[in-house]
Amino acid sequence: MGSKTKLWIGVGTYLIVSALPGLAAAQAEWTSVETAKTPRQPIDLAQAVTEADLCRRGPGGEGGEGGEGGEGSVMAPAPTTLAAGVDAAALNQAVEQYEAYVQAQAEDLVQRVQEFTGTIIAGDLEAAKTLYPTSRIPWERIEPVAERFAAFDTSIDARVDDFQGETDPEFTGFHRIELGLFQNNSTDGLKPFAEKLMSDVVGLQRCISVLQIEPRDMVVGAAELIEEVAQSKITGEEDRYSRTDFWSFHANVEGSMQIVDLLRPIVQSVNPQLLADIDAGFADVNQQLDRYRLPEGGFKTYDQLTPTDKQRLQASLARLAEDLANLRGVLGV
Amino acid sequence: MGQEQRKLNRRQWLIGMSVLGGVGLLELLGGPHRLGRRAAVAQVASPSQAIPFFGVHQPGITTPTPAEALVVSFDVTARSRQELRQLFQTLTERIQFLMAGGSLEVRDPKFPPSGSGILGSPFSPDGLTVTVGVGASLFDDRYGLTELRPKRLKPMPRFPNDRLDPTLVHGDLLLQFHANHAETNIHALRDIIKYLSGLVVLRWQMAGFQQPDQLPHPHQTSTRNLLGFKDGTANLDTQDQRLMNELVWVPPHTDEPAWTAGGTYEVVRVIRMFVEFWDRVALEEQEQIFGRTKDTGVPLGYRREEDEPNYARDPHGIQIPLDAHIRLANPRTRETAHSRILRQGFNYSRGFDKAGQLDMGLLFACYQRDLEQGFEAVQNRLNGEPLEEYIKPIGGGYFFVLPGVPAAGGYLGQGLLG
Repeated sequence: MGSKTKLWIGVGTYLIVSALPGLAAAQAEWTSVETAKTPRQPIDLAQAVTEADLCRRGPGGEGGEGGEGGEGSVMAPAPTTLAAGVDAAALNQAVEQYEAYVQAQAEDLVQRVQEFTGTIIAGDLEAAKTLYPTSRIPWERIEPVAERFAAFDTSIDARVDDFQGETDPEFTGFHRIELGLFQNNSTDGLKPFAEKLMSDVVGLQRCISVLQIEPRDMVVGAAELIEEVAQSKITGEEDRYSRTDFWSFHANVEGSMQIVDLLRPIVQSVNPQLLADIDAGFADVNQQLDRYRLPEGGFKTYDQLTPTDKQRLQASLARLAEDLANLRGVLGV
Repeated sequence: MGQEQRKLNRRQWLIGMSVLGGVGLLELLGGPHRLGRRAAVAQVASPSQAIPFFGVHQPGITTPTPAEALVVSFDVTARSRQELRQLFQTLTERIQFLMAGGSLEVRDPKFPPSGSGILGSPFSPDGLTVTVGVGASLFDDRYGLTELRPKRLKPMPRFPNDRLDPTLVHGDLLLQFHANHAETNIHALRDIIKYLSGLVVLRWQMAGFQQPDQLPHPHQTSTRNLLGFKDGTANLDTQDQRLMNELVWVPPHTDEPAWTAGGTYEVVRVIRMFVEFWDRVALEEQEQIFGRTKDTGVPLGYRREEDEPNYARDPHGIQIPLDAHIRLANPRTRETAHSRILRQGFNYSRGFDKAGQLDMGLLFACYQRDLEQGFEAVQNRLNGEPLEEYIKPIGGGYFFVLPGVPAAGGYLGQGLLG
């Protein structure tokens, strides 16, 4: 990784600009999506900085809070002292596997959103409603990574509470479309939002495709996903119009479990008790989610969650969050 | 006894505290041979003082009430009796640590810190007490405790003037934090929530405050409620151990389960006050409603705050109306003597309501060895009192305060779960 040129675009976030594709062009021509893997040659640093800036600032060129002062600076990753017994090569391998997972999810997001937005543009209300919860799954699985691109996070997944009401023109993305489909029960007027969502996820995928994930970010991400569930998914405010919160909830948990699975042999070797506690925590949460699964797949609506089960989930998530918060220290990342 | 004498006695008490750190506060202060009766009211602990944790009874009940209170009700999510025991063992360890003050465990900086750090480290005890009670719901079929339920424990019923907010009542577990500073209570709460993760979830909470009593006399107080009246003048003398045993603590060898001895029944009431309305009521009417003068706390027609009204000499309520709050609450007859309760009152304030009126009132707690003879008898006498026009109970619950932990190695609830 040492030969790559990296740009700092926000807290803990680096882009490998030597591999950065033509982002602006890709966003403009999202209808011919091809996921960018081929580095452009030769590297034009000035051009790369401009494009990295798009990742940092996001669609519209402003509003992101990706951080200050990083423009154009080339930084080495902060040195870490791994905990005794942690195999650096194994950790690097886990991180590379996680990068591949994140990129695969980002690509899957583009595919699913393309299908979803296609039904909206075609005016197929029922198909759009069916695809809404599944189109979001890859996003929720990699939420801590996707959220690093703050402006994309705002334009793709912000809730109405972050704006001045439902008619605020800044209110876009999944939840603006959800409002139309489930509350207004219509695809009318949703085409521009569908097109923007598609353009945004393509942009996001381009940025993620050249994102270098630090071991620390990966490890902390497992905890962040559960914090996200414990703090806001549990309240049922995420998918308030469609009541499909269990899908988002579950996808967050899946994303966290994926990280733990990739780290499993390492954690097992240094702190098997913590791993056992974390596994028990995931099993506990999943067992409770299973009670809300539908036989034909998917989940019941979130308004069916009983107060007792909600408390049970709150308790399990709190304990799991406490355990996951110790992962970083146990690995020394 | 003069001011000098009182100062001396207070000084003796402080010395006693430091020498006999492990001795229960109650025992320490109990003997009239050590401290003259008039001077027997203990003062709130200074920031560096630790209230002893160990004792036959839990601290925080007869301990002088400091400036800040935090009442937090939880639902218990422990999945087994074993986990429930673990809950009370961990809770006991944390309370002991927090009440004693000290340093937070230092960890590798890649781990989360062992505590919130909001008091720094080392932190001072700051007069913290954490008092633990359990609600009737803990004795349902979850943990096999139905046979061990304190006989008089039940969910708090609704009284005629109540408008109970479902998000502000009952609970399996009640923690009552008292300290000199609000941060000390919050520090303790955050610590306990962290260490009890998975075992409890928050149900409701209410913070309260007061000006600690400055008057070292059992039948005077400087503490006032948010209606502007002195509150606590005629409260039970917590230094009178015989009285506490008679009215507050559940004694051994009763019809109660054996484990309850040394505990007490606690009633918490969150009582909203309509203060804008109250502030527009004529002073004369306010005083008639309470039965005391507002400024001095003197019973109407008497000369001193500590004077005991003689209602037998005022059978028609000429001096103190028959429906005055103090007269209904404590008619001072032989028949009602056993319904006296030990009260703690803190004020609360939490913004304003939908009508644009201030949302504040009284965070009330009382302790008695029998709910029917104690709080319920008092409340039933108060039902329909003129004060009701200006107050509205909106929350609270009935709880049983566990017996204390007599010595190191034990834990709260051991008699129940051991």
